[in-house]
Amino acid sequence: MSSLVIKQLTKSFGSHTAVHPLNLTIREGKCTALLGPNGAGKTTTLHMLTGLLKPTSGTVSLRTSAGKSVGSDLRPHLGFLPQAPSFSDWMTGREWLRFIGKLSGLSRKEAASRAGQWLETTGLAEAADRRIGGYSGGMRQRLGLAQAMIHEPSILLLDEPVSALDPIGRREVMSLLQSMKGEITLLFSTHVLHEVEELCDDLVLMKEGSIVKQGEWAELRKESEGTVITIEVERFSEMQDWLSSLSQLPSITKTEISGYTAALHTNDMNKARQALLQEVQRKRIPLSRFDAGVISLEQLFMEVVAR
Amino acid sequence: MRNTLILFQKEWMELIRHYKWLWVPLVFLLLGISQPITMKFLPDILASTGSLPEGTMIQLPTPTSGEILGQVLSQFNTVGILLLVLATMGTISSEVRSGVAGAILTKPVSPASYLAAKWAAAMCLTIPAFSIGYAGAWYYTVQLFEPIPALAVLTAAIVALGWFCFIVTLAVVMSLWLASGAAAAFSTLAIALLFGLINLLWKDSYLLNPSKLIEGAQYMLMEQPPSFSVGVTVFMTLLLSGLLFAIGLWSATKRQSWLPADKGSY
Repeated sequence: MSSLVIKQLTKSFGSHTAVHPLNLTIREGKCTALLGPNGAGKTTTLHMLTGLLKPTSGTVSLRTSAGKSVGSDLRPHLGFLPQAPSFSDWMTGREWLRFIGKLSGLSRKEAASRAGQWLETTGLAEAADRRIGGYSGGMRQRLGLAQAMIHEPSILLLDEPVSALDPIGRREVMSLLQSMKGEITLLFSTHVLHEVEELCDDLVLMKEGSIVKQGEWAELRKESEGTVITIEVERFSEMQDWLSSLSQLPSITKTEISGYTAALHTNDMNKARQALLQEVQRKRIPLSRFDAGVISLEQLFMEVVAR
Repeated sequence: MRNTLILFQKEWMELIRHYKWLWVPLVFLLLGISQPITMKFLPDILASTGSLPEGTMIQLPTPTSGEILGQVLSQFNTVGILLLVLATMGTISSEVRSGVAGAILTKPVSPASYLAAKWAAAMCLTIPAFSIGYAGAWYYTVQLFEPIPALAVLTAAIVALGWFCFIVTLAVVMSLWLASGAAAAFSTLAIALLFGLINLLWKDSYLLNPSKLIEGAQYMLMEQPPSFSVGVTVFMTLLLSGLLFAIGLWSATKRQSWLPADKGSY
């Protein structure tokens, strides 16, 4: 496990600055999510960390758990899973993993045994001796994960690891990541929000190449706690009218309605909650969900990005 | 060094799996043996086409073995070069585009060893292909015409091979510099053509013109003294190839991005 220290990292393409000076510390052993809309510079940042893209300026250094600081070539300590991992499709999965393992500095024997282990872990043992060209998207993603992990890096970088997968593939990859959590420092970019909520400790929100908000997810949550009530109702005839009438309730400052749900921003949680529940009782509203004071990541995301 | 070897093994496996190592030497062999056979039966072929008036006597001087092998080199210099360039044109650019180069270079691999392995693999295609084709030509020429001193044949082969290796080195480096394989092939062939043109226009160009090696080899095969110092040209070709490769290594190390060009911005 290692922590990663990013200082003044910048990337410009001609006159366009994709990443503005970025300062960030990725905590050891934690899972950090890099969030942001498309074009926010998440992938560019990850590419700079892996060395595939040379930064215009700035430095990235790594501190291992033994306290050693690495400043130049981080690649022996990093694993990287790109958005759509690429392989020599004419090779078999096993051949590819052995090849990559040897390139990572493993001996022939070690590479062979690790390749076997990771094929097992990622559930590819059965397809190991088939050509990669015939693999499905989910299998490629899992092979990519095995490839990233084969030399036991201390930090794993993932670029939208599941956004291209179907729900089953998503589950598979997420549970693999879940099982690695705690043993390795994870940094991944994504715009699929709910997976961040279940996996991540820290959050970095990027917009237009800069960090707009960062911190521990639990802290960020607490910060905004007590300001939002989310309710969801079952369909009924005057639903629309009723939902929009909620803004008349005491101490509600803003309502956001989408379909069956309404997010009510308030400056006095207790008062608003009382009023709302009475209203529900009085009108016999078929309430299906009631969340008080827990901001969802999506709300945070929208709030920060729309700003 | 170890990584270069591992990467080379992968390249080698690819040459075999994609049958490149089969069809490129095969075409060279075909080119090589067709020349002496055609020359042998040319009078019969001309006679049997029947387009000549009755009673025409065909008097062709019998070519020497040296001339025939010289013609084989000319064949290699056109069709053979085209083939080799087409076989190596995308060796790096296609892997950059597909992302395989990125996958390799996120591991602790230096871009220099990546290029070196690519180059070594290209050489392992070029040298056997040329040798097999040339050996076939030699065999049939000796069978169908008169014997020819082995020393002249072998030195001529080595001299001529210098030109092919130079062009293939150029093709590999071009596939590093240019994003598309077609562009790499085109520019390599254009440079090869340019050297040929310089050769025609400026007879003292042997000082800096690797394409002169073919001409030098042809002189050797005909056992005539060359009109220029072949040794100097060999030396200059080695120097030029080395320089080209060194610039390639340097630019690979300095390269800003190993990502596909259209995916680089975000």
